[in-house]
Amino acid sequence: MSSAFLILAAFLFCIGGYGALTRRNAIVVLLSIEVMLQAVILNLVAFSHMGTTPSLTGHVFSLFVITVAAAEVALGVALVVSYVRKRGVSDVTEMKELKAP
Amino acid sequence: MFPVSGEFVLFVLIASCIVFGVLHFLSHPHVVHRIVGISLSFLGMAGLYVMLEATFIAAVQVLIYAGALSILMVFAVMLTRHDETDSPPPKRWHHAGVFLGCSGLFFVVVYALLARTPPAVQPAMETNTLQDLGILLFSKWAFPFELVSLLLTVALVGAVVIAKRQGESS
Repeated sequence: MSSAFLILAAFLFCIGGYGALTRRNAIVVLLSIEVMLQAVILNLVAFSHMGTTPSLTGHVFSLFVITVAAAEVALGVALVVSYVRKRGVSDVTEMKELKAP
Repeated sequence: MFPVSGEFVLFVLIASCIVFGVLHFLSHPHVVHRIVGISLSFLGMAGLYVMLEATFIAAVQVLIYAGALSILMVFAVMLTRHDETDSPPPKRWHHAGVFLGCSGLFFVVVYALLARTPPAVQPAMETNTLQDLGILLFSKWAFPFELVSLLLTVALVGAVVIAKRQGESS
């Protein structure tokens, strides 16, 4: 049974990585990174329930990951909205102000 | 390979909901529909956490992901414009390469998971109540907990600074 949870988490991680690397809307890229973090949290909770030594530490680390993800997505959305206000594009392939000429 | 029990049937139902939501998120052309799809998969993840006896994590998942984060993303979509009609065509080779890499990673992980031998005797967790979680959070992991609260404060101040600079420039 634990293999099923881990396979689902691997699928979510890979499809989140695919979305983060191919999609061009900045908000969709942020949400794809959230999907990858969801896979990580599912792994932590699954191992804390059915690992070799089950304990509540997995739950504690899941809470930490959720908090960091919330802070990250709040700052990311603030930056994206600020950038779109300033430049008028939300396409991540167009954001190349810092690229060397 | 997997025992067909009620628990497994429930897992398959929830997992198909999650996979459908994520595929809808990746494939739908409209951005708000994508956010609805990913909200469905976030709710399904909460169901999986209940199955794994992590009820507090499930509640936090519904509050933060299915609630706050989806609403935040809808606001972000409203505040940014999505009327790019003359977007360049997608790079086929880039997509194919990323797809090959991600599916390769997936199959390697699945192969490693199926090749391992699961423990014969599954030990149960001694205590799994919310009180135990709180005691653990404030005794053993008190310092990381305070660091996380500091990180939240920094993120709050950073968001305020970004919003303020934007207001001054306009």
